[in-house]
Amino acid sequence: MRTVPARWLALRAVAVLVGLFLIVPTLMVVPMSFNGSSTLGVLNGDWTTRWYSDLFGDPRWRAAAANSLKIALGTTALSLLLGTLAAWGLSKGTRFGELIRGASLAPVVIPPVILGVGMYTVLLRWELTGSLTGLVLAHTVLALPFVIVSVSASFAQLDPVYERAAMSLGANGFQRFVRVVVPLVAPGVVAGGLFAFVTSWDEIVVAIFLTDASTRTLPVEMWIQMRTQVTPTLAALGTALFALSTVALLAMQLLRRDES
Amino acid sequence: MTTTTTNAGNGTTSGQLHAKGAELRLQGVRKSFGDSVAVHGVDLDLRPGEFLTMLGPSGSGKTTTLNMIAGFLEPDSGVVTLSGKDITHTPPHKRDIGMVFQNYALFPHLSALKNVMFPLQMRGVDKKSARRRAELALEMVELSHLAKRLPKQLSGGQQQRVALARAFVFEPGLLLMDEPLGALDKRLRETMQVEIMRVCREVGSTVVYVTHDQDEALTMSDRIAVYNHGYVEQLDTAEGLYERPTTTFVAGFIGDSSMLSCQVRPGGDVVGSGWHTAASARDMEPGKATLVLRPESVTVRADGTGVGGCSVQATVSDVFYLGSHVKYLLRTEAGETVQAHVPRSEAPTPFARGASVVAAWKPEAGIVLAE
Ligand SMILES: Nc1ncnc2c1ncn2[C@@H]1O[C@H](COP(=O)(O)OP(=O)(O)OP(=O)(O)O)[C@@H](O)[C@H]1O
Ligand SMILES: [Mg+2]
Repeated sequence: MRTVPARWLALRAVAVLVGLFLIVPTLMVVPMSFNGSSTLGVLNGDWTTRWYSDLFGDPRWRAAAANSLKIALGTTALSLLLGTLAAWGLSKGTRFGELIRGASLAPVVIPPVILGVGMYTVLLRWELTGSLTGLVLAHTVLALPFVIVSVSASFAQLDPVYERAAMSLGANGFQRFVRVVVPLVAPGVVAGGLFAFVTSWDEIVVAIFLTDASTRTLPVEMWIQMRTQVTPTLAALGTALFALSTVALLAMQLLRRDES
Repeated sequence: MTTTTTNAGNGTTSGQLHAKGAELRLQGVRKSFGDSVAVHGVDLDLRPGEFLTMLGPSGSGKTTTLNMIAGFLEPDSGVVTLSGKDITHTPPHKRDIGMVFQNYALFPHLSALKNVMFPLQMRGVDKKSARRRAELALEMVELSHLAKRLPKQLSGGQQQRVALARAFVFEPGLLLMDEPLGALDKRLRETMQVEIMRVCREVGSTVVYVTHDQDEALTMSDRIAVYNHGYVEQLDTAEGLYERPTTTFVAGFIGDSSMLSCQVRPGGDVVGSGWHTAASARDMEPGKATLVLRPESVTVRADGTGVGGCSVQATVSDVFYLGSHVKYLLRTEAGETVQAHVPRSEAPTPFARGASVVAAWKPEAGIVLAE
């Protein structure tokens, strides 16, 4: 008879515990959002969808969601354009390339508060604080490194011979980029786009500095409401966002499977 | 998005694609990478419609030369002219040169037909006529039935045909091919050699073809440029290279040959170890030299009686029966090796290994090359 090694069992147990710890706290908001108790975090016997009708009926949430969506889409578009072009240039391996690549990662390691203060100072001068444009620019700074990293990974796999072939067939730089380079690094571009979208969608620190009453994003609105009244509407919102990101994640997985 | 200055706009109506072969000239073209010189001042001159092959060992500078013609590399010095126009510093996409790459470089996201349409669309040809001409090109390489397939759904030989069609569909004056058959097995290679020759002749472009396969070069080319260490050692027809090699490298690289070291004496007598010829190198400076013998010009005899020309005493060190002829490896008394191919009809009872023989040749069959 073979015995199951104790180490194997222990490993299993730890893995399961870590998994639970990662997921369960997030899932807690689901029952909270359907519970009748009007204090967030307390569950009682009756169940309701009242918090969802509150959420979807409140113009403040709707405005914040619309702002967030516009900013996230703007950030995705701008950072994809700049990031893909940058990754293309960096893939040529010029002397200063590695230096620039390093510098482009700075926003990841710099504390968001510092970035927020800096952005605020600059955008104030340009009269862009409190505008969607200003926040798109700021979020692009944050999202760009993720795009560059993920598109660069695709470029690393790309045989430079395709570009040469396109060149010999008469394609100029613009034509090569649109007709050959982008289609071939598309997986990295899609992944980078998702990263960029999520970066902007979730971002709160810089957004607090740069938004005013009319341009609040969802995270900012959540934060402000949480400071005044903690209602289960927040749990409803959390559940909705959770559902949304789950769908996005699944989509990404499916995409990846298609590719291979 | 349109690029002008190409003949791709003059749609063909004859049901055939046809290019006007361009004249290509390289003058003193040189390229180094850091300290190492990849190509030393190369001169080439191609007639319109000519098929030139660059042949040479690995690292001898063939691809580097080709890349300077295509525009992927800029020469350190020297001039490249195409149809009289200096293109030394013209970017590749404005050169109007078709190129076939070793691993085809077909765009993996485009079907065979779309790949072939690509160069036409880059030149602003409208979609409908681009399609028509791409179909024509695929027909010429006998691949019409697979036009909708993606490259990964095609075999190596089929991909090769698509790459070829894509390179000539815009009717460039010059076609470049860098070891286009390197990835195919021998049988397919022979089929494709014939195919490429046929298509190139039909299209009429001037062709520069790179290979390190000697047979391929001899079969396909009008002329061959033999490369060695970044130099063109000799530029000649296949026959010229075989009959009149100008360096020992070329003699050794093209076809089989035996090389015997010798001395040229004042007056032109050539003296080797165990043999000599009278006054056969009259126009050469006296000094050390090499005698090159092609195996079919050497006869093998039992003894020296009745030998009119040159001969050397040797022993048979190996015999191979190769169907139509017998191949001997002979060892001279000085330890040099002589190869002989004797037709079976002339050697009904071949010499056995170890036999003592005389290797003979006509003086005019020996090629004397100075060191
Ligand atoms: N980008 C480069 N950087 C440095 N050295 C290079 C570069 N490209 C080629 N070389 C060198 O130049 C020389 C000629 O190379 P080239 O590629 O032209 O040879 P080739 O004749 O095409 O050989 P093969 O038959 O192996 O393809 C080689 O010694 C090679 O190492
Ligand atoms: Mg090469």
